[in-house]
Amino acid sequence: MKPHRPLSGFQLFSLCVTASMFGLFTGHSGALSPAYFLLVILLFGLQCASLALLSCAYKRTGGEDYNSMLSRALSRPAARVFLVFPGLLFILRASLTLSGQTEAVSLYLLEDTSEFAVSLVFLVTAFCALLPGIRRISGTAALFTLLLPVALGVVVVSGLLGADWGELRLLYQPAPDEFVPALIPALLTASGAECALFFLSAKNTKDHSSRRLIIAPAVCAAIFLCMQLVTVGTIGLGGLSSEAYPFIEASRQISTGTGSLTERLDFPFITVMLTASIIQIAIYTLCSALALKTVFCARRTGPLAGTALAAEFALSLLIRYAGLGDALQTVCALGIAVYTAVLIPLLALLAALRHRKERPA
Amino acid sequence: MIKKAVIPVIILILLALLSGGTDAVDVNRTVFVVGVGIDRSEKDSGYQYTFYAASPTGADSAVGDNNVAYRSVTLSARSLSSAVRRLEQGSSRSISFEHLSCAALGASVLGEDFPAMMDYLLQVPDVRRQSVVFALNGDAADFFSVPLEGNIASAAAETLERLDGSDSHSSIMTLGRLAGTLESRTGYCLYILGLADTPSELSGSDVSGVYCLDLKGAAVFDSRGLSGKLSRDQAELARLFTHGQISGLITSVDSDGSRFFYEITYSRCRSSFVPGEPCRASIEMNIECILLERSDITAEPPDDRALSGHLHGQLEQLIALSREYGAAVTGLETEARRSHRLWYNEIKDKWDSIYRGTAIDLRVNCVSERADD
Repeated sequence: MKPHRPLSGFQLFSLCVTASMFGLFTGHSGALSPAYFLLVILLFGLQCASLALLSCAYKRTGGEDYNSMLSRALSRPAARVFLVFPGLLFILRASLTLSGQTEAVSLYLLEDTSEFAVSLVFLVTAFCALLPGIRRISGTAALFTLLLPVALGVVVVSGLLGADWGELRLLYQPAPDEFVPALIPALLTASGAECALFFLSAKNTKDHSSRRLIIAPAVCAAIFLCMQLVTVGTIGLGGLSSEAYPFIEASRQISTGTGSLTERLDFPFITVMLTASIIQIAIYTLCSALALKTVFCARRTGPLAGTALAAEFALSLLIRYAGLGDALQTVCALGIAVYTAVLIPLLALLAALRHRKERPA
Repeated sequence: MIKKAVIPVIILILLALLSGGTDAVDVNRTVFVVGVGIDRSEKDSGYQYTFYAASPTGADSAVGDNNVAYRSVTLSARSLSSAVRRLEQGSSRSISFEHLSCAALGASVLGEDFPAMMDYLLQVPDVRRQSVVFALNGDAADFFSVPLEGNIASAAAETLERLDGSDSHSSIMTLGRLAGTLESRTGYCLYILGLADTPSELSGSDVSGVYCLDLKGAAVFDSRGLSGKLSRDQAELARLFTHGQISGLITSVDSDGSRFFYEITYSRCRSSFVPGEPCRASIEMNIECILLERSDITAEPPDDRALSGHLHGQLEQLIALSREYGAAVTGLETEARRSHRLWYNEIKDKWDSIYRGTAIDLRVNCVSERADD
């Protein structure tokens, strides 16, 4: 039997970065303010700390996968129940990406094509991406991570050169009453690192690779920072809060001297963003299937992933047509917050403590 | 084996879904609206919307603008959205706003809530956000129906772009900037254009007909709507309150009445605003210019100090006018909003009265050189 080839550090890093998609979540419902900007940066910082704790526990336990680590920390049935939570959370998060990106495509690229068909194409493509398994997905994510900075670099450099720097002063003046409304969109924007738990398994990972996972949220925060500066410098804080897709709008309006250099940049940019979204949906679906596989003691991941994709499609239709977007965003954001900020560090701590107890004197 | 069979099936499904061709655009079957004008309708309580559109003529051998015909269509409607719908119903071709160059406001609608009238342009993603927005000194319908060989919409946009050479702090209003300004509820200015009385090569280079375009002034808006109008010279002068201008004329008069004309080569404007009782603001201008012409060839041009003093006097008059019209003229409202956001959000409703009582310290420093130097 061919032995499993572990994921390289860069592949693991790419998976985490693509799951976060550089903080490019676009399905928010307004409330983008200086407080949102600061909260996202803060949340990425917290994720770094959370992943550092997890990585530390991972090393202490000798590179156990999440299931073994959970079983050590909790009893086996409790570990299973615990995994229902991320399993459903990832399905919800993928459906939010699906509905958000479907709307972007319908607005900017395919105005006359039905949203139903666009959604279906997204899902079928994500299913294709899932078929070869996590190694192929990580390979595609690594390629994407190498390519996207080039496209973003063009926008960011030309955007910062033509930006109205005076407007950027607004970003460090948040109003106290802006933090609460900005919390939900900020939590969704900064989500993604929670998937790292499922990449950190003994058979998938080399020993040294967890360090790169820790810096992944920091890289996302840096790219998010650049894109926000370009957006606010180009369309102003008023434009940021009035547009549904502020970065796409900003990339069309960047003042470069020649005027129209980036005017139609939305097409390549959205195409790249869609590729990233498909990988993101695939990653969330895979993580969800891995969690549910443990819950149901299933032997195969494929059928569960297919079911998860169908559930995502149904949820995205509910979000788009039944007006459940805000409610599901709130549930998902709070779930991610609890999962990332409370349960992962707690699991890491428990695993480390249990390991210490069991170690012979 | 199953995987190998599934992948081609999926690819076939994808091909079937994506090859619908519903989003295909045939440029020969499309009308591109390049200018939109809004006037008050004389017949009813609605508005007149003028669409200045380019239609491909289908002549394959023609090059550039020669295979495009421009014509204007005026429709009466209650909103721009319904006017666009009527335009689509009345045309066998599809309508596109992707190449919109300008949105012009007729003099009859300047005092009204025009952002509400043009909500379609501000909300639909297909509309080009870099399109310039300006006011007219007459009717938009008349402006777009002037018989020309060229394209008056892009000529108007180019005339404005030539007026303002600043980079990222342009005083020209675009649809994108208007959306942001309306969201932050601050004041703004719109240039007023009109047809020049005499043809000039300096204006409207694209327009090869009899008429050319000319700056007629600027309309000043505060958070409530139109607050006043500036003359052409005042509008030119107000441009100095933005940073990085590389064009424009300064006129100076000496004690004997001789006039001297300077061309601006670079201008820098720095503003600051300090809240308090009363609020204090400072504006510092550094202008580099070159002497172009003088009315009396024997007259000696003023030194830099005298030139600065003369310009200072003109700008002080403009600041006095801005206390009546609103801080959009000097850009101090934007400065206050950016520097003291929390304070500004609290006093937003009282801003106009606060600005009237603000002590403004203006400093002007001109450095001139002669063209023959």
